Amino acid sequence: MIRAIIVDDEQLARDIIKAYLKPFEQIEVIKECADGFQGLKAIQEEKPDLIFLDIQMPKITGFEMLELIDNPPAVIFSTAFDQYAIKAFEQNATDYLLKPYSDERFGEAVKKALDKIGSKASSKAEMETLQEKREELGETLDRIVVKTGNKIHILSLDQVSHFQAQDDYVEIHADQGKYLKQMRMKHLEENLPEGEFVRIHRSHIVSVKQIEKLELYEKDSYLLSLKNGAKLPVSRSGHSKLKEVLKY
Amino acid sequence: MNHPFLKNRNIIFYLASWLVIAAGFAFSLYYFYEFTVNEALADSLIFNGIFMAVGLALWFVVRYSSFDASQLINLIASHLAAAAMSISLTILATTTSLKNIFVADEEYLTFLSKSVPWRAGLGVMYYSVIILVYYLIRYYDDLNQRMQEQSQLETMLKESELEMLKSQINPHFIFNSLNSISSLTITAPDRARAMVIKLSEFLRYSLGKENDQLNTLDEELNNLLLYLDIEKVRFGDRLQVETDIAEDTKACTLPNLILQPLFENAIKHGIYESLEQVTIRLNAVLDGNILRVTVQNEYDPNAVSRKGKGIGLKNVTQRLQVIYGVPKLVFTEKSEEIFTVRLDIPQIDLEHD
Repeated sequence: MIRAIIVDDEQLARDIIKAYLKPFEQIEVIKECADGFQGLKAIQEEKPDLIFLDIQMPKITGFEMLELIDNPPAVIFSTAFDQYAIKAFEQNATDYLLKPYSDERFGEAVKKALDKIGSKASSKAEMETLQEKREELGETLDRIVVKTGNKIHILSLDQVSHFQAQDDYVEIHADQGKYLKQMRMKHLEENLPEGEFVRIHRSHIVSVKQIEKLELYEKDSYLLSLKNGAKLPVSRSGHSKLKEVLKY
Repeated sequence: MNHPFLKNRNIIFYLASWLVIAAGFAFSLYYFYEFTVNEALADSLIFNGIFMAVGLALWFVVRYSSFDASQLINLIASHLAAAAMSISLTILATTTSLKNIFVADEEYLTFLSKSVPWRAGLGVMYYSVIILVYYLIRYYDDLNQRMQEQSQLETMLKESELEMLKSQINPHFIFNSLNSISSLTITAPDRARAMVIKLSEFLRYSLGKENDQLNTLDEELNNLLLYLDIEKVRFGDRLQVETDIAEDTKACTLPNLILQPLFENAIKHGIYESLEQVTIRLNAVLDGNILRVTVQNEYDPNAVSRKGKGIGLKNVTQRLQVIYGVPKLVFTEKSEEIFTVRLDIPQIDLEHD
């Protein structure tokens, strides 16, 4: 038996998935969720094999919800109109449904997903490339969703003072505290709004608004102080980037 | 505006013109007054050279004076002063330096002291021509600039019209509604049919209207309620709408679909970002000859919403400005949990060109 959950904020959109799933007797819908928070909870508790996921939802988007899951199961996305997402899908193996969709189209997507579940392929790499594609298409990062235990925080970039690399993770220093999220510095560097953040070092990206002062520390090496008191080393290339952004 | 002769290669033309004048000047001294070549050249180069330098400075007299008719006396006074100063300065400098060069030449020195009046006359002419050229340049630049601004404004208008057309009917709304209908055809065909009809009526009203067409508030409200009905099918109980419309406002006019973006915003920030029930309030009163329409929605102050492009409200403001010619007809207010936007629509007969 394949265990599936549906995450979509519209009842009627969930209804049609259930109706289209009738011929697939091996799939059982174990839970319906109306937003990403419920969806995340259900995925952690139930460990489903398949998720039907709407992208545009209240609070957090379908993509942001997936970012918080360590080992995502097979996913069939649906969206009404989201140009970045649609273009990203077209260049990716992950299947997506454009609302409204026919039962034939739905059937194809489900069969593909079932094959993937049968082959035990991990969706993780696929999700990562999907994420990259969206970024390549120019969707800028404007907020960051993080998880501590069972709590989800949505961080506005205004609240972030700096990012610090920690192996595969990035430590996000925000007004509310520190958060760890699995992501790459390169990804952050490329997608944070230009001019608002600077990568001053291999392991540090700082918010320009939070910069207090730049001091010469030793010959050729600088130390950057932030308004919240943090002191961070500045590499040589970081120093030239800082110069460019601060225009001094 | 920078000095017109000091940019690009204009200085070459300026120098060349003066060279021609100086050559003519020297030639007449040599030919008609029978001075030596040295005397003629020195006199001409010094006199015309100094005026050439002074002429460059005259730009600032033109640059910082205004064409304004009320300032005419000031303008004349400043030109008289500038002319008197520049001409006397030139003559003084010329005669002093030439006296020192040709100390022993009695004939030339007599000529020099007698030449002051006609040098002054020539100076007035130089001054007038230079000032005239400056004014022409300034006028031409102003004209160019104005034309540039005009075309910029036109492009902006066109762009905003285009954006407006794009934003009038939100594609999300259309496709999600169609998906809802698709779903209803399986579970509740009657409701599907009702929604198709509502959606059609809404689209018929919304499509193919002119941007500056004025409709009555009553017509606009009917269309808005259709839109909200459709959204209610999608969001169920989560969307509540309360209206308070004064009877005397129903015949008031407003640009077509001007309220639509306000409701879309209210739904986007109210419903899309919230999990709970959200109420949108619509209120209309007539205040003198101004129709005041207020749209209020509850929102979650803690929501970190994805940054919208802010096109909706900007378009509404721009459209009202274009139609009524008044810059500020949109007012917004954000309290703890309620976002309010008010439109003040003048109730006057608009003459359409």
